[in-house]
Amino acid sequence: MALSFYGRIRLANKLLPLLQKASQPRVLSILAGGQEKRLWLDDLQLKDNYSLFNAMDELTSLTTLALARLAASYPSITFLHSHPGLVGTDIMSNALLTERPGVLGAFARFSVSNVIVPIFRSFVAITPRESGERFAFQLTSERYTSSDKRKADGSSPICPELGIVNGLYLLDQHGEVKVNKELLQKWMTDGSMDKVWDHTVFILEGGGRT
Amino acid sequence: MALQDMRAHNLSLASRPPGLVALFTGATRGIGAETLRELLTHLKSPRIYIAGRDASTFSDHLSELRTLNPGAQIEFIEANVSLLRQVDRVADCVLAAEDHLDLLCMSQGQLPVGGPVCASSRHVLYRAAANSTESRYRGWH
Repeated sequence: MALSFYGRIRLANKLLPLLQKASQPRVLSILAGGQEKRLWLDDLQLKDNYSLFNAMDELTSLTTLALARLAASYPSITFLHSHPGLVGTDIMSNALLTERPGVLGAFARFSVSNVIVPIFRSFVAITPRESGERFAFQLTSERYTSSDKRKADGSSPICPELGIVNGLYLLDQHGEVKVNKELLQKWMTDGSMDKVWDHTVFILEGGGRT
Repeated sequence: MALQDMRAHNLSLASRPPGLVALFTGATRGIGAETLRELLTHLKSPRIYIAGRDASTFSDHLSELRTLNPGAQIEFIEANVSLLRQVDRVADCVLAAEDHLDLLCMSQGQLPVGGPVCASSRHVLYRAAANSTESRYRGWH
């Protein structure tokens, strides 16, 4: 997941010149846009603060801030950081079904396969099919215009109260902008965005090796 | 926004000009795969690149996608996008073949819980550094 963050930013970064040549280019990263909560600015790789939930929060924040930074530099491109909501893919069962030895492990695997996953799929989650329809919409709808277009229409390209930072939209599965606006405003003004970007470039350029 | 409105919008994609160019990473299964399928169903003559780990396991799925929209050009780029040097190769493939790119859709990655994704979960976040180091030694830099 951490790797997918750096890999996604690297891929987007390399393809920006090609995207700029399209008439309405769009970059969509499906992770957890709008779910930003915390950022360990002095420990971006969580060397001292690692836990599963901390890592998910950190990667969500890093993704939003790095994409916001790219969006600021490339105003003709629409960037979307989206949260799929609960979807019945096998990602959750894969995560829960990993090796745990002994009787307890067997019991855990049985419960996950026969109780937890079926209940989750039937009552809580949307199907991957439906999620695909929702993201096909996000990738093509005129609703999510670029920063340049918003400016030309007289709307502000920076609108943290709407979850629009530069040309970056933070979207939920309903395609609505949804965001912790105080937090986003703080990150945009206290140097967090630049610090995250500098760190990302450092890693992508091969930094951090021993 | 209601799902039915999104569906109506997706149906209207059939009237868009042909030849949209899109790159998908993480679309060999799950949400990414379904997003790709939905676009492929409606768009006229799109050119679609799919980056994925294993061309042979994806070949049946790929044939099915080609049947779904015979006017589409679909290229599979075999690459493990969790390695930075292979990310570069994916980008280079598209850069070499296209003069523009309309859509980039990224959904790769897994939850960092247990298992082979992070056998030592405490260090999952260090792996980026480890990999970029490896990439560098292998001549990526």
